[in-house]
Amino acid sequence: MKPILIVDDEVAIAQLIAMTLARMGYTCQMAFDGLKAAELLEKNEYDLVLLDIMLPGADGYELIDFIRPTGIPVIFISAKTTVADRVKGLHLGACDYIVKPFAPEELLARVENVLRLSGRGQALLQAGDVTVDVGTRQVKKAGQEVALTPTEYHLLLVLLHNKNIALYRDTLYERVWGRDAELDTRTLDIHIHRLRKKLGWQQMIRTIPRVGYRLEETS
Amino acid sequence: MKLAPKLVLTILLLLGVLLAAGGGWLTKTDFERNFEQARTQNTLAHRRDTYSLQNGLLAKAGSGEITSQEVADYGSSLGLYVGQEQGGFAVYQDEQVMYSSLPAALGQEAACQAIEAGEEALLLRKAGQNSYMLMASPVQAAGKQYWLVSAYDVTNLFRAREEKFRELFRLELAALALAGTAAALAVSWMIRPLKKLEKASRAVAAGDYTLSTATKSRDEVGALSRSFDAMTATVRDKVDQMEDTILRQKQFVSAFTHELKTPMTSILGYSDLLRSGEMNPEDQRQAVQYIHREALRLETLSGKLMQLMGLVEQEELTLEPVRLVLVLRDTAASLPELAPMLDIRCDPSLTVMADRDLLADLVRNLVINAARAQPKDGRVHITAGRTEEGVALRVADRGRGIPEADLSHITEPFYMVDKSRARAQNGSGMGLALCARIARLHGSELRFTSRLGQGTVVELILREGEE
Amino acid sequence: MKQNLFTAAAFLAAFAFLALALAAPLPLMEQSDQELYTQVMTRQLADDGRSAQARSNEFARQLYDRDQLLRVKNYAGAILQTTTAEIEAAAPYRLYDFLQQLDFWSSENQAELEQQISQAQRWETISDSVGFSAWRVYTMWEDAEWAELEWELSAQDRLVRLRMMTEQEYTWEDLEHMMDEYLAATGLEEIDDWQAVDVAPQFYVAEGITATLRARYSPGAKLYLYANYVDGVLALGVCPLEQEELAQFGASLMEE
Repeated sequence: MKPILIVDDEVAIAQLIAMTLARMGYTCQMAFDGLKAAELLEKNEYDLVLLDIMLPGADGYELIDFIRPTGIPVIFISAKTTVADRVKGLHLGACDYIVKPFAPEELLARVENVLRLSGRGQALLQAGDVTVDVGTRQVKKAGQEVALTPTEYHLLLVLLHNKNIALYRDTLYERVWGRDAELDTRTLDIHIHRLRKKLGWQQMIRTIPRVGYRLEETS
Repeated sequence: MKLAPKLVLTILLLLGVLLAAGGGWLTKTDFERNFEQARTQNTLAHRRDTYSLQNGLLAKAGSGEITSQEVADYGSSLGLYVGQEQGGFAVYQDEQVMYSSLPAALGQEAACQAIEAGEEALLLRKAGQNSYMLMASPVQAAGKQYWLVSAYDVTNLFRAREEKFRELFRLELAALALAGTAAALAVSWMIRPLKKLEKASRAVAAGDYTLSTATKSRDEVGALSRSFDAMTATVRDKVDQMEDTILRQKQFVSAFTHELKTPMTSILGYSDLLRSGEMNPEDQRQAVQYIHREALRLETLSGKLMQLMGLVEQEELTLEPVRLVLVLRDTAASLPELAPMLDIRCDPSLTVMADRDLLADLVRNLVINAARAQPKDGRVHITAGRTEEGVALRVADRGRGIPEADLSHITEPFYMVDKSRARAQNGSGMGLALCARIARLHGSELRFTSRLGQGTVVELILREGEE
Repeated sequence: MKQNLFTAAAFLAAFAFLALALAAPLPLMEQSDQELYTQVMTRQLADDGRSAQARSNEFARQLYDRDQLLRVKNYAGAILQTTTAEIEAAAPYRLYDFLQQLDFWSSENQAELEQQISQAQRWETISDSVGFSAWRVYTMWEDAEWAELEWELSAQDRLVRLRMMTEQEYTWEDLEHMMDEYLAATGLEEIDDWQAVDVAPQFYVAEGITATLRARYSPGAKLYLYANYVDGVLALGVCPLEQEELAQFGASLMEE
C-alpha cells in the first residue's frame, strides 16, 4: 500500500488527519503548500490525495488538474460549504468532498470508501483470522461466513478501525448507537460479549478496566 | 374609472346642466317678453275696437234704438275693416250673441268667461291647435249695454317658442358633443405626464430605477413628476448603498465563518481523538497543544471582533484634546516586549483631538504589524508633526513591505497578506480593520505607503487640539 | 376590460341624463302654460300710475286712451290735421248744449259764439277712432279781423277744449269759477286730487296786455286742466299730461 498524501496549509489539521488515518494503519505524508505538494507528487506515488482548496502557492483547483492525469483519487477538504463549491469540486474530478469541521470517523469512512472504489485500498479488513469485506459486508472467520447483526457489524468495524487502541466506553457506545441513544452501556457489554462468542475473540477483545475495550492484534 | 374619463364626464355634466338651465331660462324669458308684447298690442287693439264699435253704434243709433240686425250688420262691417288677423270678435247683449266671428273651436263658453272676467281682464284660451287672447269690454249705446269680446290669435307665440326650443336643444347637444370631444383631447393631453408617471412608478416597483418622467410643465403634475424623479434617484442611491452594505456584510460573514472553521476543525478533531481512546503520551501532548493554541486563536479573533462590533455601532466619538506624547507612552507601556524597538519622535506639546484609549489601540496595532514585518534595522519609527492638513502621526518600518496588489485590501476584516505567517504569529487579519475603523471615527483615514522589501509607512492625520 | 365597460356605461348614462336635462324645460313649460290657460290676467300693462278713479271715469279714460292709442299729444289741438268740411249745421248745437250747462256761460258769451259761427268762412273738422271730434272755424271778428274758433267734443258731447275770441273780460276768479263748473259738467269732478298749478306765461307779454293763466293738475288721472284769458282770447280745456311734462309749460304744482 502506498502512502496517502495530505495537503493542507494548516499544520494542526494536517497532523489531525495523519493521526486519524494512522489508527487505520495508513501511512501519510504531508505538504503545507501547493508547490511542495506538486514536488512530492512528482517524486513519489500515492494511493490517495487529501487536498485542501485554499492553499498558498497553487490552489487546490489548480493542483487537481495536475493530479488527475495520474489517476490518483482525490478527496477535497475545505471550509467552503456551499453547494456550488461542492459541485465544482466534484465536477473537477474529485472523488469526494469533505467539509470542515469534520468528525474523524467520517473522514475515515470516506477515505476507506474511495480507496475501495478505486481498487487501491485494502479490500478487506483483517484481524487475526477474521476478514471483513467492506464492499459486500461479509464477515468470515477462517473462511467461514459469520452472520452478524448490523449493530454487531458496526461495532466490529469501529474496533477494526482502532486496532490496538484502548477505546473509551462512552465514546464507543456513542459511535455505535449514536449520541441521542439512551446511555445504557450495558448493551455495549452485551454486544461485545456476543462478538467475542461469534468470532472467538475472547482473547483478542481485551477489557481494559476503568477505560473500555481494545482490539489487540499482535502481528 | 380612469381620471381622464372622470374629468371629461364632470365637465360634460356641468356644461350640460348649465346649458339646460341656461337654455330653459332663455326660452322662458324670450317667451315672456313676446307674450308681454302681444298682450300690450292686443290690449290696445281691443281698446281701439271697443271705441270703434261704440262710435259706430252711436252713429247708427242717432236717436232711436238699435236693432239686433243693425248691430249684426255693424259687426260684420266692422269685421271687414278691423283687421282680424285670425282672431275674431263677437258682440253680446245680455248673454245673447248678436254677431260672432270668433273661431268655432273657441265656443260660447270662452266668450262668456271673458265677459264674466270683466273689462280689466285678459284670458288665454286654447281652441284646437290655436291659442287666443280673449278680452271683453262693455259698450254703451242707446241706453243698452253690449259686450265686445275680442279674440287675438297668439298661436305663433307658442309655435315660435317650440321651434326655438327645438333648435336650442339641437344646438346644445351639438355643443356638448363638441365640448366632450375637445375636453377629451385636452384632458388626455394634460394627463400624459401622469401616464408617464404611472409607467415610471411601475418600473420602480419592479426594481428598475432608471426611468425618469422628465416633464417640463410648470403645473402641479410637472412638480409631482420632478419630485418623483428625485425620489427615484434617492431610492436608487439608497438601494445601491444597501446592496453595497449587504455585499460587504456577506463578505465579512463568509470570511469570518471561514476563519472560525479552521480552529474549530482542529479543536473538534483533536478532542474527539482524545476522548475516543487511549493515545500515546506524545500524541496526547501534541493534541492538547493544538487544542489550546487554536482556542487562543479563537479568543483573539473573537476579542478583536467584539471590539470592531462595538466600534461599528458607535457613530461618533467624543474627541478631547489629548497630548500625543502621552498616547504614545500608553502604547509603549502596553507592549513591553516591543518597547526597545520603538523610536518615538514627537513634540511633547503637540495636542490632538482624539479618544485616548482608542488612539493608543490604533498605534498599538500598527506597531505590532510593523514589528511583525521584521524590520531590517530592528526598529519601529513613530513620528508626529504639524502639516498643513493637521497633525500627522506616522508609524514606519523597514520591513518586508506590502505587495501593491494587497494594499487596497489590507484593511478588510480577516484579510491576511501571508496567511501562514500571520497565523503562526497569532494574527487573525482583524488588526488593520480595527485601526481603519478607529481612524474613521476620528474623522480621518489611514494612508499606507509601502515598497516590497523596503518597508512600510502608515500615516494618520489628526485635528490639532488646544490643551 | 371591466373598467372600460364601466366607463362606457358611465358615458352612456351621462348622455342619457344630459338629453333629459336639456329637455327638462319642456314639462316645465307645459306646466306654466297650463296656468296661463286657466288664470285670469289683467290688462293693465305697465303700471301707469293712474288712480282707480281715473280709470273708472269715462271721460278721463277716453282722454287717456286716445293719448295711448293715437300717441298724439293733443295739447290745445296743436297738431291736428283737419280736413275741410261742409258747414255742419248740427255740430255747433252739441257745443251749445254743453256750454249751457255751465253757469258762467252768459247770454253775451252765447251771442258772441253764435255770431262767430254764423260768420264762419271756412270749416275744418276731424274725428278719431276714440270718438272725439274737433272743429276749427275761420270767421270774421268785428267785421275786420280774422278769427279762429276751435272746439273739441267727445262722442258723449263732453267738451275737451274751447278757444274763442271774446270781448268779455275775465278775472282770475272768473277763470277759477269756470274751471269748477267745467269739472262738474264733464264729470271730472269725481277725481278728487285736482291740485292748483302755478303757471307762468311762456310767451312774451307786451305792456298793457292782460294775461291771466290758471291751471290745475290731477296726478292720479294725469290730466291738465287750463283756463286762460290772454289778450281777448279765452281758452279752456283739459289734456292728458305726465307730471314731468308740466315743467314744459312753465307750470309747477303749487306748494300745499
